Amino acid sequence: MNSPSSLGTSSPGTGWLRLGHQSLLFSIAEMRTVHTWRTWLFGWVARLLTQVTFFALIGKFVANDATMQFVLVGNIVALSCLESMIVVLTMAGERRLGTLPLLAIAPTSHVPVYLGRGLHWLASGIASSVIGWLVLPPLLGVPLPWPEALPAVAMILLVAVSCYCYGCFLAGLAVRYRSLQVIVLNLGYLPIMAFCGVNVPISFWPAWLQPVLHLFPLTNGLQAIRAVLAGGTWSEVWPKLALEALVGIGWFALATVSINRVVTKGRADGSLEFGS
Amino acid sequence: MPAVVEIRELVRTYRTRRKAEETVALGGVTLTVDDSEVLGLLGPNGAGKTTLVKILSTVLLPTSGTARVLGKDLVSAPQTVRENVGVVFGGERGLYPRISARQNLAFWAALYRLDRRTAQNRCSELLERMGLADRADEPVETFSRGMKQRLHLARGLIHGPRILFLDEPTTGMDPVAARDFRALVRELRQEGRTVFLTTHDMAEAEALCDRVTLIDHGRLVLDEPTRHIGRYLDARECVDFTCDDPAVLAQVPELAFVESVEPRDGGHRALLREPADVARLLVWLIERGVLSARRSEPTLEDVYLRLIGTRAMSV
Repeated sequence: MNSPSSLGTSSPGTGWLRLGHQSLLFSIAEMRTVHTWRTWLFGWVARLLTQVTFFALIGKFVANDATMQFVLVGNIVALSCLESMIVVLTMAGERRLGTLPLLAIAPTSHVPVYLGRGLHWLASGIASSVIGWLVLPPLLGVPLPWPEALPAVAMILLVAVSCYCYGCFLAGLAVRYRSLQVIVLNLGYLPIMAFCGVNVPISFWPAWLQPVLHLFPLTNGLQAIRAVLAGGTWSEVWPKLALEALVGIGWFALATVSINRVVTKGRADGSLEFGS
Repeated sequence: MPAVVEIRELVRTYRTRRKAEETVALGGVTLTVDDSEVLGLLGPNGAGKTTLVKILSTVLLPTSGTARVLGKDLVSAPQTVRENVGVVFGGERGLYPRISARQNLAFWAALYRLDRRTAQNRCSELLERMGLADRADEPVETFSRGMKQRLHLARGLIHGPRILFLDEPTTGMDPVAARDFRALVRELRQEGRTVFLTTHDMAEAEALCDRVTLIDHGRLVLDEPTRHIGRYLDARECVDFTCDDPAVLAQVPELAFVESVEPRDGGHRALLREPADVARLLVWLIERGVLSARRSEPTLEDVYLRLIGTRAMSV
């Protein structure tokens, strides 16, 4: 049994990486209690792909095969965003579970823990998008150009990470306002689905709005993916990818501030309740 | 014994959004806690017990005053304090229900910067000690209340803290589970840990604590070694009796040497004005056919009820 005198066995060198790894293991363990690979694939992913198919068919119904492919590509990439952003609910759950004050008083930074709590959704989102990328276009009769479509898989990963960072920022708000967590998630996801080029190009929107949309995750990454599929040159694609990465880093920084604020404000105003 | 916790004029106030006025949760508490001591924090709901524990565990900042844990100020050096304190609260919350007990502990071990090997060993040791080894790899949501509370304690001990805060740890436990949990707390004291125990269970406080501190309206109203607690009733003694005759029962409080009578464990307890009055009351009762009567001493519950009165019912 660890006695008070055995405190020196702690290793202060353990950092964000170890915590991130532990959070990932934790997330996977939690995910495995919700899904088996069969329920994930034939229940969860199948449902998401059905949703994508629905929007793609509307594209075909209202226009033509080109529109259908535009909507299809947008919605397949948006899947990775949708799932990554479920981190909002996972992190907000820390308050419901009563673990928030315990995390806040652990001697290690709580930030990597919070940031790592939804990594299973990030992984699931990427996997869902990639499956959709491989399966749906040929199934719906609008095959993607290969091998151009191959590098897009890596770009989906970048978009998903960027959206995850955005989700972590929103989670910082959702943790503070518990009753609003679902609203925060949906209001955060709404502009991405509506304005960021998933179903209609951003050039459709008023000129004053378009620069704002580049501050959201997915916008620039999706433009890069579409450029690749259209046979665009790398000099055309790289700036868009770099912008997507920058946007992700920006949201990551805001997420860190947002999460820290939960704890510092909670310590000051007493909103970190035991068992709440 | 050296003091491990020194609190001076600790104040915590809250200002709610809707109410403009300030609410005083702690109104200038001064307290010193010695090494290896089990301190019972008692008081009605809203008295300030949990606020004090939250401040000492660095969950909450004080409004004014100072508190030092192992010589470190908990406002200016919270990290050092955190490495040396563990917090365990009662109830279902504070654990991750979907993952196993071992995974829960491994997660907290990483947060407390234990290296991988030490973490594995500590998890196994604690699970064994808490009697959870056989269920260590099952999801926590399948555990009973008592098992969850033992896991809470294991989590609080994962980093080997010198000081442990137990916030109503036996709330909702069945008697057997509560008894087992108390045995674990006794072991912690023998290991040299200092334990803060907040509880509403007077018997629990009396059985476990070296000292009890009673808080009401954010202020200390009593701070005494548990064995001397009867002093607060001026060393008056009591007689416990069982009486089925309402007429006799009605006369007891009217006796000149009886200060008060209150229901107790299916019978009644008479609190006497002088120790010598014990014999007078016993004789008086026997003469009226009351054969179930015995001398007793004031308990912590008597002291609590005397000092807090009926306020506990009003909050």
